[in-house]
Amino acid sequence: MKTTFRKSMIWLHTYCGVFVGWLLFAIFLTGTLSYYNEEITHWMTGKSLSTHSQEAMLANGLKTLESKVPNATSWQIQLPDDRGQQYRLSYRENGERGRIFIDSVQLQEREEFATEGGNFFRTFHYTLSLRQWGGRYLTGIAAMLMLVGVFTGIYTHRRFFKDFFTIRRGEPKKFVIDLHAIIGVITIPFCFVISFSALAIYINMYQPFTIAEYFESYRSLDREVSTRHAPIKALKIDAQHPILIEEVLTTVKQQWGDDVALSSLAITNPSDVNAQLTASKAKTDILSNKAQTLALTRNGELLSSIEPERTARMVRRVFYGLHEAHFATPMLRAAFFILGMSATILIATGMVIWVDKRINKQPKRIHRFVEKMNYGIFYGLTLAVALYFISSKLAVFNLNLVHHELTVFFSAWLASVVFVLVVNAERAKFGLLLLNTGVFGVLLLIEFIRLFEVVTMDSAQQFDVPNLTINCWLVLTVFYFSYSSKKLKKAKSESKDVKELVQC
Amino acid sequence: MLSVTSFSEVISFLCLILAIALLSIGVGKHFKDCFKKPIKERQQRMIRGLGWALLMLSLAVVNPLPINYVIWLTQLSLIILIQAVVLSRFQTIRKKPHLKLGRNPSR
Repeated sequence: MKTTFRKSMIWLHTYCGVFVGWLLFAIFLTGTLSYYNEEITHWMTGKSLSTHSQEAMLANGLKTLESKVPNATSWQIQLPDDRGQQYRLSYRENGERGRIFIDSVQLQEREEFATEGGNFFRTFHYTLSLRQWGGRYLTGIAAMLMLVGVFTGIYTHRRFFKDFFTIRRGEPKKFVIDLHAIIGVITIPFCFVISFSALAIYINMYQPFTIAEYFESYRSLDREVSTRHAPIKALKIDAQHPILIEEVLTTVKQQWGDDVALSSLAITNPSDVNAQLTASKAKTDILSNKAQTLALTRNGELLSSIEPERTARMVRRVFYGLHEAHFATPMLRAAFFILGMSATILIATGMVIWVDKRINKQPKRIHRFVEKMNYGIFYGLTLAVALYFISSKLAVFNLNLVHHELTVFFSAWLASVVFVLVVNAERAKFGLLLLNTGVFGVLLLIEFIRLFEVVTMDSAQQFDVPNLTINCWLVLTVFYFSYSSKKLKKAKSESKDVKELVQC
Repeated sequence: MLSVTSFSEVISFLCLILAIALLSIGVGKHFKDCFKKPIKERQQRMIRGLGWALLMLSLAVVNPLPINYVIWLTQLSLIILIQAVVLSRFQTIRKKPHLKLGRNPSR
């Protein structure tokens, strides 16, 4: 136990951070990338956005499902959006689920994309690709320690509130401390919401004994506390006519306005007279992760509305929604992305400060190890992300590595860690920075070639916001890595000059 | 900056920028860096008071929808970061008196 409360808080802040720093860095980096989940998939697959109306896509979806799986017990049409969300049909037939992927421009069936796209980062950031081996428990522990780190950080860096808005650029070590402090302050609400919601999302996993006390299982808890439209019973009489999609949309527009955007349409017992349709509104104007829905008959008549959920459930849904940020416009999404990246830098600078403070006083083997591992984990992960992107982008040169994208990602990360362990720390850092610059630069070059094709060859692809967004971030990333490597090179040559002067 | 669609959002955003600028200038060393003279106590109180008032006004004019408060908080975070970066450009490196004179303080 430390002598003062503040000292205890500093100790807790330091060791919470050091204990899960690398894990938190990986979670926050991949989690931040998953703000652009749909955009990354769209950018990696090089497809165009749909120009069809939602009426046309719903009609096409129904026609496809009617011809492919007329006897299914349920259908669902997932509509594409302007972020590049995929146009997908799903169904349940004889107790088994199936999916049909539709090209949102041609409106014809297509193969499933070979790449996992942005979805890889989304699943990785909460399962660590260890879904069946406790990955979600590990991320839960990391989220809990992040919360502790956020609150103890307020005590640790309380001086910052006195020196508000101060970043000392001239002194590298103080610059890192100031950067850590200012990012810590501006991301307090962000980090709190993200860490708390991460715990709230999987509360049913993290509180198993409490749930077992009141419910059979966490699935039964979900069933009991979630509300849904009262189902109408199937009459087992085949309908005389197909679903009247125009009438359905007329009712939907009467309820939600003419410019409503739907995210999906689900149909239970589609061939029955008593088919039940559930139209879900795109979650663009609500914080909750539960979409607003309308239940309708096959003729477009409105059925009973859904009951509101319990307050606790709604609070969890709002935190869930805030975590996913599905409501965000492109500008707000960019702002969240910057805050996410800032939180990632916060974690990285925290680790760097811990090492720097100790390595100059009494360097021990553990400090050297952590210093090297910092470079390997941080720059290795960014390099792995770049190579993951390249594995699908190389298709431009008929070099398709898309089926090995995960192998490429993990191998690159592991190789970076091994590289830093066998090479001198400074050299390893410089090497990884250069590699990052090179690989992200190649990625940018590939994009330029693609854009050149779009402009000159009257390609079917067009300029669109998702592609533009990812390319803008890519340019900034290349700039950051090239600037950092140049700066490091300059610092190295300056320190060499100083050494030579001292020797003279 | 973020989904600026209505007049109240524009007013809120401008007030927020001004509020953060005033609050940062209200810090003695930043005032000195920007205007090359020390801040007077009365000046500091006025600047800070105006800054806080504008911050409150910026929050008050937000269209009261939950999503707009999320946008406001995000804007606040980013403006503080940008302001800190801008101020660091004005910064003069302060040295402790003994370092300025090249003396060893232990003597």
